[in-house]
Amino acid sequence: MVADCVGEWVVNVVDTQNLTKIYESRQIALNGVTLQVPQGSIYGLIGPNGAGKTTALRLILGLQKPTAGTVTVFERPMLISSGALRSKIGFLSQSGRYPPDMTPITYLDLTGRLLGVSADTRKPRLSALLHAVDLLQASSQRIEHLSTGQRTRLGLAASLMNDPDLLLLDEPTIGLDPEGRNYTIALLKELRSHGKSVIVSTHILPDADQACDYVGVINHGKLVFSGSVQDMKNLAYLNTVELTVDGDVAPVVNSLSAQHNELHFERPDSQRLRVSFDHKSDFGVELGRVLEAFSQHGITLTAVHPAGEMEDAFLRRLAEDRLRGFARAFELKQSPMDYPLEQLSEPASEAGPTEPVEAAKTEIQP
Amino acid sequence: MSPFLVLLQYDFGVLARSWVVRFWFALTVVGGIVAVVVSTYYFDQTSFLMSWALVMYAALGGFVVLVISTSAISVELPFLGDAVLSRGIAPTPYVLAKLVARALAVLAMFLVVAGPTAFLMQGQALNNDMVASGILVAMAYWSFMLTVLVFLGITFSVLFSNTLVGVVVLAVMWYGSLAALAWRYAGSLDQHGILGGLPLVLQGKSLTIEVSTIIAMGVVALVVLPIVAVRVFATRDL
Repeated sequence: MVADCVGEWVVNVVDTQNLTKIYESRQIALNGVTLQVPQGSIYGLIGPNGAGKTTALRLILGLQKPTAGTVTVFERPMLISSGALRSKIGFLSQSGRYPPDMTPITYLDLTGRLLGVSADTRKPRLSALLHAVDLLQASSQRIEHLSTGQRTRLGLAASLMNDPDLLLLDEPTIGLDPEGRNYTIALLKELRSHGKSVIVSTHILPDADQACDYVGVINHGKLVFSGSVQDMKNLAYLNTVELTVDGDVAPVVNSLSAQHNELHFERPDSQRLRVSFDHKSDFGVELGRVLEAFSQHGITLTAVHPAGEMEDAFLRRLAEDRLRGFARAFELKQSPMDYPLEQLSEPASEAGPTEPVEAAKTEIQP
Repeated sequence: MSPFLVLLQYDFGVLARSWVVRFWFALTVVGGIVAVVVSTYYFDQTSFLMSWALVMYAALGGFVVLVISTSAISVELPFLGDAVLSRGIAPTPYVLAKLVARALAVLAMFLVVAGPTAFLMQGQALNNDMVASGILVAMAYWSFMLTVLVFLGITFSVLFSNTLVGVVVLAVMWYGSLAALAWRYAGSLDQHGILGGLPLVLQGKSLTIEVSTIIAMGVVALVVLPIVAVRVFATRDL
C-alpha cells in the first residue's frame, strides 16, 4: 500500500520495479519498466506493435522470467512457480492459441477445474459466459475451427471463469466487430464497477480512451509515460478546447487573433474550431471572450469539448522519446521527458498511481 | 480436485483421443491374439515365443512410447502458457502430471495386452515352459524399462521444443543403448543372443543379479529425470 497525493491509502494490485526482459541476449523486449496499478482501476498499456506490451503482461503473470527487476501482484512476488497467485488472475492472450481439439465447452470446463472452481459454480458460470460472449452456437465446435474473433471471445470467457480480482487482457478488442468492441469496453467498465482491476494492452487508442483510468505508453520496451488518461491528453493540448459551431467563424477568428496574442486557433474542419490559450493566460476569461465574440457575430455554439486527443498525445510522446536518442542511456536522474508537461515547472512528488513512473536505472545484464 | 489430478485427467483425455495410441493398442491386441494362436498350434517353447514378443514390443513399441512421451510437452508449447499455465498452474504439477499420465497409459497398454497374452499362452500352448512367477518378473522388467523410457521422453520433451528433433535424438540414444546392451550381455546377435536370458526368466529362473546394474541405473534415472524436467521447464519462457 502507498499513500497517494491526497494522503489516502491506495492498494496497488500490481507493482513492477525496473522490469527488464532480454530474449537470448539479443532482443531487449522490456527495459526497466516500473509501474503501479491501483486496485479497482483500468490501466491501459498502449504502444505500437512490438513495443513490449505483451511481454510486460506475460512477466506480470509469471509466464516469463524477468532478466532483471521484480513483479509484485497482490503484494506477493510473482514467479513462474506462483500457481496459486496466478489462479486469482484472469488472462486473455493475444495469440488465441488454445488446445485445438477441444471445444469451447470442454476448454472452459477444464479452465474452471484448473482454477479450482467447484462444479456447482462452474457449470452455470460456463453456460452464462458462453452466452455472454455469444459463443453458444459454436460451443460444440472444435477450437481449431473457430474464427479469430470467436477465439478472442472464448479467451475472454476463460479469463472470467474464476471471477478474478485482476484481469490481464492482451488486445481484447482485436478481431472483434464494432459491436463486440463496444461490448468488451462496457464489460471492462462493469468489472471496474465491481472493484476488479484490469490491465489491458491495446494499440487501438480510442478503446483505451474510452475504457481506461490510467495509461502507460510503451515504446521500444521502455515505459515513456504512466499516468491518468487526462494527464496523457494534456500532453497534446494544454488549455485547449474544441468548439463545434454553426456559422462563418473566419472573421471572428481573424479579429481575435489580431487582438489577442495569447489565443491560437485551428480549424480541423468547417464545423470545428480548436482554441488554445497561452499557459499564463486566465483560461476562464479568455474562453469567455471568445464565446462573447461568437455571440456578437451571431455564431451558434453547439458543443464544447476538451481538445486533448489520446492519439495526438500518444504520437507526441513517441516523437519525444525518439528525439531523446542517446540521452536516455546516460540519464542518472529522472528525465523531464518522463513528466507530463504541466509538471515540468514543479518538483517531482512521490510516485503514486497517477504520477509518472521513475525512469529506468536498471543496468541491462547479458 | 487438485490441479495435479485435473491435469492428470486432462492428459488421459489427450491420450484417449490420440490416433497413435489407438492404432498401437489395436495392433498389440492383434499381436497378442496371434501369439496365443501360434503357441496353441506350434510346438516351440512358450518362453521362446513370449521372449520374441517382448523383444518386438521393446523395439516397435519402444518407438511408439518414445513418440508419445517426447511429444507430451513440446506439442503443447504453442498454447501451454496461454491456455494452461495461466490458469493457476505451476510447472511442477504440470510436468509431474505428464510423467504420471504418460507412464500409467504406457504401462496400462502394455500390461493389459502382454499379461493376458502370457497367461493364455501358459494355459493353452502345446509346449509350455513358463511359470507364473517368471511371467510376473518379466512383466516387471519390461514395465520398468518402459517407465524409464517414458521419463526420458518427457525430459526430452522439455529440452527440445521441436518434437521431431527430440524424437530423433532419443531414438538414436534408445536404440543405440539397446544395441550396446545386446552386444554387452548377449555376445552375439543370433536369436538366442538377442533374447539373452529372457526365456530363463519366464521359466522362473530369475536373473536379477545379472541385470542389477541396469536396474540401479534405471532407478537413478526415475529419481533424477523428473527433477531435471521440472527444473528445466521452470526456466523456460512460455
